[in-house]
Amino acid sequence: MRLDHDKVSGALYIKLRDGEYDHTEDFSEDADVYLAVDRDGNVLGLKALSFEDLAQAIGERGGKLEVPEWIAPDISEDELSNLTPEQQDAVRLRVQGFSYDEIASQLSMSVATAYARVQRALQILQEAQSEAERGAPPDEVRTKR
Amino acid sequence: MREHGISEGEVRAVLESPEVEGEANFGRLWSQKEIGRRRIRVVYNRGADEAVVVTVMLRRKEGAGS
Repeated sequence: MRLDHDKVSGALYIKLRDGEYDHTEDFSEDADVYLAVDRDGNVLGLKALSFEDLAQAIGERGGKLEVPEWIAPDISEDELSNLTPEQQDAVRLRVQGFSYDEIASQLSMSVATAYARVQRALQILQEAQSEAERGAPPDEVRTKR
Repeated sequence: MREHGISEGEVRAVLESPEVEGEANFGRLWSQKEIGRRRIRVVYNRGADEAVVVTVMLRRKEGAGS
């Protein structure tokens, strides 16, 4: 078994066995959790688009998954300065543990916009961190959204 | 996309002229279209002026397999 986590999108992939992918089936009724299946119906792996989705899917089956701490990273005010004021507002709320529904409500936007704004902001922060680790300052001004 | 053999052009075709659309979780959206013998679904977030693709997948057609 192999576990992959895409830090930018937040998606989680659990590879269960080798095989030739044929199609994807729903694992959950509501959450975005999918099964990669081969032609014979063997499950090759499971993909959850976020930990929240995985927790929701497990909850549907009577289980419980605590969202891990990394979902709420420690982000400094200096790091936040890489973001637009709108992105900062969204990230601050997310780090405080507000759900995307709650962020959307507080910032008067759709849930999709709240999710996209937080994900984009986290991507910018991650890229800035990577640049800093390489010792070079970010040389690109991000498009404000 | 690459691991599923789905090209960027096919993803664009699905997003630009979907046959079926729906809402996914956490405000995500999905669009689906049959291209050739494959049924392709794209899950994405709608930004102000762009679609940010979250994942793409092949869906099974009715009557295919068990």
